[in-house]
Amino acid sequence: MDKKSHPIDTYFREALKDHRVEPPGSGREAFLKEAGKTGRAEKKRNLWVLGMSVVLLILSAGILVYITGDHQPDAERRQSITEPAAVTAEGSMSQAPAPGKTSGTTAQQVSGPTSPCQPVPLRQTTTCAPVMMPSNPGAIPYSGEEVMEIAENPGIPAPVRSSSFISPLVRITFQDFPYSGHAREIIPLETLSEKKEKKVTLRNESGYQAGFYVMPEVMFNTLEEEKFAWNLGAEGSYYFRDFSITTGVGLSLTKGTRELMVEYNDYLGTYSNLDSISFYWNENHTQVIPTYYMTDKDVWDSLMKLDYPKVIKRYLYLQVPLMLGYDFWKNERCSFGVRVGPVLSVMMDSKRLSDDYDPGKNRVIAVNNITPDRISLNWQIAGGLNFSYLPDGRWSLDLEPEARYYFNSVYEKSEIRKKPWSIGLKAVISLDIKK
Amino acid sequence: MGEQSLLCKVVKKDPEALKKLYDDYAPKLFSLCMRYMGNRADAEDVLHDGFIKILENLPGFRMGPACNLEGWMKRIMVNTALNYLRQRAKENRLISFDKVGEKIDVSDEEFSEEDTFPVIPEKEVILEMIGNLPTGYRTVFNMYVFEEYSHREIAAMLGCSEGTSKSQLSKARVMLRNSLASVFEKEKRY
Repeated sequence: MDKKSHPIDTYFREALKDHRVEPPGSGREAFLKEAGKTGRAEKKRNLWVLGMSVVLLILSAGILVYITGDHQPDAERRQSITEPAAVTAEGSMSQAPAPGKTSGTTAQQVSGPTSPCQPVPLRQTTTCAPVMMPSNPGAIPYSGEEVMEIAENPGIPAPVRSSSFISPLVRITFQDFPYSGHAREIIPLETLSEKKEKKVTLRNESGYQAGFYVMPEVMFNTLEEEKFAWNLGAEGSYYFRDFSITTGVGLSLTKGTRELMVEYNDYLGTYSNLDSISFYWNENHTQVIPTYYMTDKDVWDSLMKLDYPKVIKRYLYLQVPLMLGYDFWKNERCSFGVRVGPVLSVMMDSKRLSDDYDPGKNRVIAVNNITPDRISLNWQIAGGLNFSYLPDGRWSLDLEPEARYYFNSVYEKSEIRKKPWSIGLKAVISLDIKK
Repeated sequence: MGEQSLLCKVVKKDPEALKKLYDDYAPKLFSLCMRYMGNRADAEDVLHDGFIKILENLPGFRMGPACNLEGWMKRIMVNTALNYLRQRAKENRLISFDKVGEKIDVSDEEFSEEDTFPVIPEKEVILEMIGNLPTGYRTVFNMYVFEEYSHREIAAMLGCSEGTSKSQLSKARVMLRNSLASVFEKEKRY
């Protein structure tokens, strides 16, 4: 019979077409109250994520400031003042240490001028730059008490003194040196900072780098709320001037939960079903003896029930990034820039970690996937800040707070309208191949 | 406010949008709940639970030509009502598909195309007639007539056989026809 042609059906369908019944106002209030609660929980979660992101950024910035800033402790600084400097003017400065050399001049003894750039008396031979070396007896290497002492005993070799001071550009040590009569020499700054400049130029040249990275990542807008993933891999970079191109291969490991909806009937037990009875006489033919043939029959409830078991799976993705970089600030040890580019993700493997759903003796009517399968290929755009630190000229450590936006969902047939996105912190250790 | 923009705001838990969503759709959905539950108190509970489910699942809803919001909300509400009925069945108030109500052996052939009911009584009276049906009859009748599920689908959803679904529907029709007849009889008297 045609479903829609039955008069009773049509009659009732027409009678209640667009029928509305006004619900009570208390129901509306209760709904709005409940909805507000869930909204607040979501806002709280978003705030937590935002807070974590800010903490990560502050942490990264703090590390950057620490590795670039002058954080030498005072005690260390004082010690360095009393010790001979690493950079000395060879020749005239290192010649002929005087007999009766004494050492161990305290910081107080040499701390006459508190600033190395402080104006000094005319007889002082040291300035910040260029460095002037004493070459005649009238020239006194330092001011303060030492200067007075030397001035009172002209022509006598100065007592052994070792003093130094720190300049923002160079540190110069005054060893005891006799009046030698040499002409004043000018030591160019280039010579003194040669090594440092070398490092700076290295960063400016073009070259290759290869390294390994690891990145914890938190994904949002998935069917399973936030998801955590580990990314690790190898990457290679080509850099020139302030620009760089990076690519590589990596693996991304994440766990996922697949929810199923199982429709089933409860198992109620068994009963013995009588199939047949046969009779026979006893030996004396005085009694009929029946034989019952029974089989056990299972019984299930006719009421359909639903169960929502979850299956935990582990997914392994191959990731191929192509990142373009630009460093907008750099010095000899650090650089600060941005990295942006697409990332291709291909699912390589999925492994079930939990056991299969076991319905027991219940009768399964249907099993439906609530969580759709994972998509095998997706594209992301990744972008982040890059802090790079070079402990020496060859190795570098990079820290990259990174955000990713997924162009397509990670699920097949997903009904989620919002695309997933993620934040992560990438740590890279790389080696300069060119050197 | 368009439906799409309303949804976006509801997803963001905008209070005004939530109110609008409720005010626009609650009356229709409450009518549906009344049909399934047969009484106002249970219908209110189902409406509340159904709206919360709608809110939870709304971020996953994708509007399209084959999927409109009202239809989607109705499906959620029907499922909520069925779950509610199952829950009640657990509490020893089982939905029985064979033993509920009086035994009426009737075939569909007893109805003919000529059967007409010229006057449609108040909608509330119609709703009451459906509400007075035994739970099993009422559920099958609602699913078949209003939600337009097939017997196979009904059987799968309710965990009964197709034959049971068909017989429940037939019995529901007979009861409803009798109810209508008695209503018209009363009207004739007055």
